[in-house]
Amino acid sequence: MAALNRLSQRIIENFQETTRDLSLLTGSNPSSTPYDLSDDRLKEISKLLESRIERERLEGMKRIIAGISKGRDMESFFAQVVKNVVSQSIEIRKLVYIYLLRFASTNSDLVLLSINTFQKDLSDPSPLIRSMSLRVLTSIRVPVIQGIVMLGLKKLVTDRNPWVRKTVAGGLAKVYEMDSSSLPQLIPLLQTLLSSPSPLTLGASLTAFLEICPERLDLLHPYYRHIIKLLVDADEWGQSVALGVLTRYARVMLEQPSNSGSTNPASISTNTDDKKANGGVESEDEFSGIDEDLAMLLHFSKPLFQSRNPAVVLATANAYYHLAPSSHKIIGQDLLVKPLLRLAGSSSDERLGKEEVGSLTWDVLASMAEERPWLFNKYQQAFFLYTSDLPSIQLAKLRALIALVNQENAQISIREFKHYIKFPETSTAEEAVKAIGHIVRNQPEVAASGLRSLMKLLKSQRDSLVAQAVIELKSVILSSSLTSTSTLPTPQKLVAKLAKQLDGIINSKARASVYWLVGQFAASDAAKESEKQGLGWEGIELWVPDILRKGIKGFTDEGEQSKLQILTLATKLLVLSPSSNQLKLLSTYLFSLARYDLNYDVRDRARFVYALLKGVRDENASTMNGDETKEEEEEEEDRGGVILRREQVKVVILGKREIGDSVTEKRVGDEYQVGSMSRIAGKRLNGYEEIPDWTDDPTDSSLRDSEFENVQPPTPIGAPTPTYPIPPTALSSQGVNISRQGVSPAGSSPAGSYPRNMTPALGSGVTNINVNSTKGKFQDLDAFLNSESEEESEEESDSDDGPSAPRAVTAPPRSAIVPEYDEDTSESESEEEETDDDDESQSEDEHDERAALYR
Amino acid sequence: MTRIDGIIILDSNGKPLISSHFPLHPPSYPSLHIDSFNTARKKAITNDEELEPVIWVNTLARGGSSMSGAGLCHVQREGLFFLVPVGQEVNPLFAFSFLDSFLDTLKDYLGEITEIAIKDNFDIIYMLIEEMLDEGHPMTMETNMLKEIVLPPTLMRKLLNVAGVSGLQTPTTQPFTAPIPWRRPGVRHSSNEIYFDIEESLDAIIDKRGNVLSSAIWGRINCNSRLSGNPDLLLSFSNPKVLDECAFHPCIRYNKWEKNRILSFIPPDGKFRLLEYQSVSSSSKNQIPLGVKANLVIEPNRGRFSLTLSSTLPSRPLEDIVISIYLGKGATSVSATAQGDRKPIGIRSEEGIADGHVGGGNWEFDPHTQVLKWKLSSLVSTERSPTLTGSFVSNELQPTPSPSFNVTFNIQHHSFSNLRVDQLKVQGDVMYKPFKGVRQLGRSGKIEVRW
Repeated sequence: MAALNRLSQRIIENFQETTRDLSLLTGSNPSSTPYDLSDDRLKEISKLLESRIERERLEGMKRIIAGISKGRDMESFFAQVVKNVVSQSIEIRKLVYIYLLRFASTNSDLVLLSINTFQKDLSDPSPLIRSMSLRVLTSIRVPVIQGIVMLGLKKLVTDRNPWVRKTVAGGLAKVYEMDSSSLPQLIPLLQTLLSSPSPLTLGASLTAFLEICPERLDLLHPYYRHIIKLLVDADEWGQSVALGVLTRYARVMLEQPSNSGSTNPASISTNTDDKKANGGVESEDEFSGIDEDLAMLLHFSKPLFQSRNPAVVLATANAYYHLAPSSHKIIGQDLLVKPLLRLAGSSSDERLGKEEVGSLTWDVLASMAEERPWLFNKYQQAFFLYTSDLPSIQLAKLRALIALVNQENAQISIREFKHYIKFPETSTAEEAVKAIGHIVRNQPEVAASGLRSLMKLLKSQRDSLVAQAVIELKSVILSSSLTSTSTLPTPQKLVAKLAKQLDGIINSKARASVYWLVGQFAASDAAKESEKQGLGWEGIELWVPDILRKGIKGFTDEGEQSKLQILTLATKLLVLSPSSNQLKLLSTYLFSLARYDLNYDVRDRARFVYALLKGVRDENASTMNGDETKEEEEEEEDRGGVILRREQVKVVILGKREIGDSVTEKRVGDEYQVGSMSRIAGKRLNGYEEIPDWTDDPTDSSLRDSEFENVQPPTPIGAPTPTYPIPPTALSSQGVNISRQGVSPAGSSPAGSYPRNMTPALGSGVTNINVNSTKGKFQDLDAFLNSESEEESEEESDSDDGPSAPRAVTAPPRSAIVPEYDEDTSESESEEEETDDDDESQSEDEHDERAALYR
Repeated sequence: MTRIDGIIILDSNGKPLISSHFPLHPPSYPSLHIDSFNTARKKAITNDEELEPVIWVNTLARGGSSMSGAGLCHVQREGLFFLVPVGQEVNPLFAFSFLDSFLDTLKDYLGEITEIAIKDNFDIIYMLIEEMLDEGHPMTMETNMLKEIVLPPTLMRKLLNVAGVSGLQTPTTQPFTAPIPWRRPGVRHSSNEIYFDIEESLDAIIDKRGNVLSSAIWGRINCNSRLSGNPDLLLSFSNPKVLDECAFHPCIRYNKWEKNRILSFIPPDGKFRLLEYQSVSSSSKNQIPLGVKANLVIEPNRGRFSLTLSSTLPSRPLEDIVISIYLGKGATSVSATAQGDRKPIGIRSEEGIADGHVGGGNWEFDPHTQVLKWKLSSLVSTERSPTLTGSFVSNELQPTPSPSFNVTFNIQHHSFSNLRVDQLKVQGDVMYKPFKGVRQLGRSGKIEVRW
């Protein structure tokens, strides 16, 4: 064997050698990338397309596609391309299809020439051809052919091959989009698809559901449990769609669990602990208090947390986030934490480039932590920042850490935040300063230590950090003046300390904050007035005048914001100590400086403040008399308006401010649901919908008892020799036995893998009996449910009896459910086949009738 | 709902190479996205910022009148840009998952994703996109399935093309009939073998005193299966408990795992990732095989540092150790000495000639990135601890080096979590005894030590 391999290798190599020369010689060999299009190559296209040699036609098609991708107008070849629809080569056909889909809508007349071929192909023996032709038919979007398209859909909706049915599902949405009045005809087709026992079509059918009638959740009643059972075996893309649909369904149709949503489990008594001892038999009340259908959904979607596909993990987490009870042993909300952390953590490290997933996941985690911090309390460590994290990840982690701060972890939190201040990434460090401010305000035990580091920051070289620190100090001071926590120094002392640092603070915003604070806390205690011994200004702390002096001295060099605040400071002092002559002189100087400032905001403010102070000045003038005041009065004589008295001005200017907590301020997009694209983009995307609130009026669970689940899918006429021993929906004895064993005593028995319907019988002669029999050994879901609770609905007890009387089930009304044409058959059921054959022929007749009507 | 709009591939300059059809949008739609992306990218480069993974693009709604927009998801791979506009609300990871699968498929088809490979095989890529996306809904995503519908550009086909023989082959099997989506029917190999690569990486934050503040072990089991027929494998571990949080390839039967902690699966053919897991750090918590003592003193315009390394892993040497220290924006030069046991020349790597080399590895400083790197080719627990002491000069009055430094290393045949494969059973319709191989590699992920 190995020798043979070597030989073939050598032959290939030789061949390659010789042909390389060949292509060099011929130069314009067509196989040298058709992507490079020169004009003369374009001209050849017509000739190539008309050629009789398949290879040349393929080359022509390739050039056309290349032209399309380069943005050239390739529409002129339409007629020639259409002719190639009948080509025997699948490759050519595919390219033709790609072409047709792009230009069909503008060339509807010519397209009609090809319709016949497609229609014929719908009955082709090859599932690939059937599916392809249907796809093109539905995608062409020419209104004239809608009738034919509908016919095709009806024909193939019961196709044996799940892949073809998948195409049908895709087609439904396209037809609906062309002509929304076709909805009544589409819905039965959709129902047929939904009842398909193959997990393959699940995603496509539900996608079609979302596209054509997302509001008709009531349509899903009979399929709800069916969908859930298929979920584990559906393809990844289908899973994430299905979870979205089921989440909405559960919210609208099922009863809210007693402690769902954002209830903190700590606030309610948890009695789940003693409920079930380890190793005990599964008790009936395991899911007590939870709607059994909801429990089923949560339980069966649990394995999806283990998906390799990030989208599925997130979809599952979302479902749990919105549906699961906040504390439950088996299906509690906390289950979502670890998978999400894994997703976020593992993808940020690995082969470069999964970082987008990581970054988005951290964002989702942060949002979840903000809304329900208790879920993540145990995992605080996982959020610690790495310097090598992307800046966006660092910010998301910080948001989460801030949200997680509580009394127990305050020490650790502040240690971390202090460390993050030193990060080279400025935005992260700033955010860390904010976090410290937050923790100082909310966790009194560590407030002092946090305050120290904020003060220390004032001396930092990093401008923006100083600014942020001052802003945080400001809000700390304001909040401490309100709440008077004993651990902190009095606000006056803090402000004095801050003011001392003024010279070291460069940032304009920070300086502005200091000036504002000084003004706010400048008033001295009346009791301590005597300590001043006549120094300073009356009613004002001793150190304050110097701050104003410094401010005025450097006024012209200050930034805009600090200029405004210096003006405010002067005003406040004037109100507090109207009699000080020094102050009056200083402020007059200040106002004239401001009056001629370059910045109109500053000039404006100066004028405004000056006018505001008129009452104060008047009051003052009455006690003192001088020429100066007279002059002023003359000047202002003809001005109207209200003059405020000193006390009134005081209220205006020294009133208490609301303290904004910079940490909790709203972020862009916060109004959108956690884990939605709109939230990430910060804008509302089309089709965004809030997950509906829990219904007050849950639907009866008997609605979801459906008969068809237990119906044996009929076998098609003349199906190939069946090889699959276990029919997928009805339980064979083997399946049941094993599933009984399968109930694990620990009570954590998982959702079983639903026997796969992708049967080996499909066409190919290769037998896969072994494979499938092992597959069949999985615990069946029905049995699983049985063991879960005996009082489950009838349906379950039916399936329990399944093996003994597999077909003792009421058949669904024919009109509702079109029999399934899967190739899952088994010889042992030959009896059944006969009857089913009848069924099938009947239903086909029916189809033909309908089809005829349509024609 | 649940649809993406299409996919666009840009070359390294931001020019479109391939753009899927956007049937539901005006013709200008793709160019709008390409423009927005290029603008955002330029802005990010000039401002030295990180480009957001989702860019908001204003577009005209299909109705035409109202303004609406789309989130543009993008990734960069091999210098090329892959854009996926998302005009409708969808699971935010959906587009990225799709991109990942798409790229995996491309890699499978083309070997390497390069601009040239894409231009050479653009027709195949168009066909792939056509099969994978049905107006934005993922259609056929399994590579094995795709290979039956869209033939990969094999050498043989190219040859036939060049030689003038009709290169139109028909697929060997009837497409759409495979019983297992991820495995082609009728696989044949002359020698049957299967290899497992267990790769673990360790993330950790270590504080000044050597305490581990936070740590995580991420593991992957990559598999290369070359088995004929339909083998049904049972892979069991002697200590499956360390596999805490797993992500399975769809072929793994979840049920069996949950019940018996055994991986039971029919593998796809070829290379694939069987499993990703996060391991519980065991109670001892000290799995970091490296002891670091570090000290940093900052003075005006300069700083002094000293580092001491030791291995705490008696069994195996740590290899390719690199310690990188970011010294802050203004750092201009470094002088340092590395000391340690002189090793026989045989062990030392060729880089030993680089400047600053002494017995304890060698160091280099890149003044552009301000990163100081200390490299050691290997470290065993018995040797004298290598040290690096030195100082740096900065033009900032108060230098701001990063508050922690990174350590990377590899350990061959080591598993941080101590995961051990117990046995691999091959069942199913196979008559052969395959060759089985397991390899383990431990490497550091992100390990940070705080000063």
